[in-house]
Amino acid sequence: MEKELICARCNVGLEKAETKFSYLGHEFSHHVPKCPACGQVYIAEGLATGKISEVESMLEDK
Amino acid sequence: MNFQEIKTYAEECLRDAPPPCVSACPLEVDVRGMVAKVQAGKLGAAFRAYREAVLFPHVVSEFCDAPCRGVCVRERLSDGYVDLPAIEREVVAGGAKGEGSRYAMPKKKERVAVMGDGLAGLACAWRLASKGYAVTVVTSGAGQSGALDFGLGQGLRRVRRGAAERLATASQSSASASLPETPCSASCLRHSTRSPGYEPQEEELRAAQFAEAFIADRDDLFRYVECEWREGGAGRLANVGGYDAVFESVAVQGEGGVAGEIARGLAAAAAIEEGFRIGDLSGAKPDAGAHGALDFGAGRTDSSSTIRRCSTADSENSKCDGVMVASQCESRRTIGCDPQDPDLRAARPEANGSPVNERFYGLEYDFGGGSEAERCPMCNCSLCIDACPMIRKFKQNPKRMAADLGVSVLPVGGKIMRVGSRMMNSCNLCGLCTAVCPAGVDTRTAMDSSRRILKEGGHMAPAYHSFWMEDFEHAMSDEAYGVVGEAPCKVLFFPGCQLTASLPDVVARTFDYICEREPAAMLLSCCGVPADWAAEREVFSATVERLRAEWERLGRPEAFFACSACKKVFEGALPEVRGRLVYEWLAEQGLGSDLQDTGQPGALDTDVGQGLRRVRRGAAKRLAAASQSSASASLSETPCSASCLRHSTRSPGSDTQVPDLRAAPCPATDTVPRPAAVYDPCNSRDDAEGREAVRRLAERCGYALEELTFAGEKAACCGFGGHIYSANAALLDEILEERAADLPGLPRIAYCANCRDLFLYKGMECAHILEYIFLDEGRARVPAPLPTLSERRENRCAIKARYAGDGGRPCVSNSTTLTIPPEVEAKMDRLLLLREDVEKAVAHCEAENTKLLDPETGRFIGCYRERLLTVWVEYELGADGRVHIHNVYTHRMKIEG
Repeated sequence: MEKELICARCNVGLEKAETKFSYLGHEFSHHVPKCPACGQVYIAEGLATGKISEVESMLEDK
Repeated sequence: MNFQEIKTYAEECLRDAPPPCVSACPLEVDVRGMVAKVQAGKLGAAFRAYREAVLFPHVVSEFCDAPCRGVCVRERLSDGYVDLPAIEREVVAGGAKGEGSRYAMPKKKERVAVMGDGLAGLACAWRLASKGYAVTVVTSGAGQSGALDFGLGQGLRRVRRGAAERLATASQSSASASLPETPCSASCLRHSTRSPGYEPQEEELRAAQFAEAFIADRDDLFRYVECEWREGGAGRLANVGGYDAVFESVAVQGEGGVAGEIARGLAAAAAIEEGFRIGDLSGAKPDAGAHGALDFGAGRTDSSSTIRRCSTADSENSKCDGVMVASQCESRRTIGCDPQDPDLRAARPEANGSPVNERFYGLEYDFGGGSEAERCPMCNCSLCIDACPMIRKFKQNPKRMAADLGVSVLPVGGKIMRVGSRMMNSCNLCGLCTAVCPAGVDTRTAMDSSRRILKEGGHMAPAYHSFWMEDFEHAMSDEAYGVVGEAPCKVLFFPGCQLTASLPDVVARTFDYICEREPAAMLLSCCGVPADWAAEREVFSATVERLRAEWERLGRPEAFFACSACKKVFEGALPEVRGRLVYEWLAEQGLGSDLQDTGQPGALDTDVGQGLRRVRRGAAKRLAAASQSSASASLSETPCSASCLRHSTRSPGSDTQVPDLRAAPCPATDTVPRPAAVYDPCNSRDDAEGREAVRRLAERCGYALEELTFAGEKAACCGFGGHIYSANAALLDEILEERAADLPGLPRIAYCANCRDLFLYKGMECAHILEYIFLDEGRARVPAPLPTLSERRENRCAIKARYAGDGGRPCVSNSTTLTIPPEVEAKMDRLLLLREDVEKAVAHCEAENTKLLDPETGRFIGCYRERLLTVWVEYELGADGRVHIHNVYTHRMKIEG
């Protein structure tokens, strides 16, 4: 269960939105919580140590 | 190594080379494969594989001369050979069902005549026919009823007569008869045994069994493989015409028995096929010593086998015996088993006096029981696999690694799957694999070269080495790098950047001690090995040049290294620098030597330095504490330097804080030496003097030393080498598990700061030899707390500042407003995060107001891109103005928005 976070700058709740990532020259997009106003993104620890870490390892082996 | 050399570096590897039994077998039966199937209870599969190899399973399993017995490794262990024929019989009895293999090969135009229908002839005929060649077998006699039905025809009677003649000869000479070279009919002989009043001879019965086995195998072989059968007899060759090749089987007595016969037939088939392939039969080389007459028009040809074989220990490759037995470590995982085990002792080949590491003979299975297949150790070389956790983790062996590395360093651009990339960056580059390899296969260099090629091609993931390169840069920065002392000097102490970071006090005391005896300087620097490991050639070269210049400026002094890795780097890159481990010199000083017995003043008595006064004070504290508590136990665990204590008793008035110890017993002399093991760092492998000096010092400190499995010339890396942590943290943990499992619980005495730090991190009892000599902590069995990554850098700065004259204050002041609980600090270390990284993240979130609020907890969460990392921080702003860090985590991927 992901945390319900509020953007401290805009004082609005985050909503899932498509976000772009890049690593080692590759680009991806994924739906993650994001401030609808300023675009501040939140990556939960589980996502960072799970899926993101997997993709990083995969790209490093290329 | 270049790309080509990497691809082929493991050609000499003995992995999967035929073991002695297979080398001795004319048919090269895959004993490992067969026995593995039998051990797994798969007799059917074992039989099919066996039949494929020998073609005549009933004949070979019963009548083979079994040259494998004489070369069996277990025979050399005085334990008796593994009876492979017995296993084969078990396979045939339990697994023989179904029919021979069917082949659907396209028909070929070439025609072959095979003269003779013995084992060799039939083997050749079957192999060629099964591959689609038109084969005509010219039988040895006048068969009556078709190709496969030998029945009771004339030919068989002739055979029988021949057998009878031989049997008669054998009986006259009282020598055991040689087995029939030509098959005969079972029914025929049976008939003769049934003659009234006739008592069959043992040999005759054996011949009958042979004939029966032969017919069973032959019928099975040719059930689905078609040949033309032609009656021959005298002048057979005259009957042959219009064939592209002719093979005449000539029985050669005493040449490998039945297996040799079959092998000759198969070799002839291979030679004929090869001749067809290249379009020139005269060049075809039969691979069986040309015992079969190959009528290619150009006569016989000789050949030599190119298969690499492991022969017995008597041959020139005398290491193979040990290699073979070592395989059991891999399959049974018995490294570190009890060398006092009676079975093991019985197995030790003391008779031949070979100095073999007895732990390699850690056979786990029961010597007395079990089936014959269970007794087979399935010999295979696995010395490097047994020695290296990395090779095991990647389920590798040198040949496979050569292939993976070769693919990974392909000189092509773009995104290909560089399968060996993580593997080469998971290698400690310690070279233990090469040190244990009887063939000298140099995996270390292949890994190192692959890293360079990958790096130069721009394919090295920056994340693998970025942290360590930054750490290296810190060690070389103005804050941490420096020369203490004046030029010219006689001795240059090079403590290394990691010992300085871990144990700055120890470094200072060691340097002080040296200064009291020699005109010395200290070079606070990194040797450059992180750049070498990261394949940063230019950085490494520049570092070496900087060190060379410094050494020249200081008057070309002798270097005293505290770290074997630094010494190794100097030996390789700066061979003109004369140097040795500082422990050698310390041992020469008599440091720690027990003078109680001799009553003579030692080296330390003559010259009392600052370092020694510190040691003495530490000892005094312990003695005082012990005397108060009247407990001698704690003393027994903390032996100290006898010479040091004696000195204090002999230096009147030298230090008023020290009580008169003349009446106090020296703890070191009153107690039994405490067991410990010196952990040789991997770079000490070729430094016997250094290793010996550390042992001498440790013994003088009151330790009775035991030797680890991988020590001395087989010293293994603690896991730090090659900076593998970023590429493979899980592997590092496994390596540490393995290091801890060797003589578990026994305290380690390290003389490499990295070994010490990692072992302490793992929770092992370990201290640096310099701690034992110069600090109380080393003896008190209280592990010094490991500094965090940030503190390590501060320590480096602190020691420079100390000698720069500002009283030892750390140059990096702890001005942070962060409060970080220990568990988060530990996590930061695991993530290779510095305190300043977290500080920057918080500062960024606060300044840019990019933080998120968790309304449930009132904490903020925010991120900051630092170096190659996106650092996430969960924090709380305290009422006291401090920032309380609750959690940190990172990812390497960049958020683009």
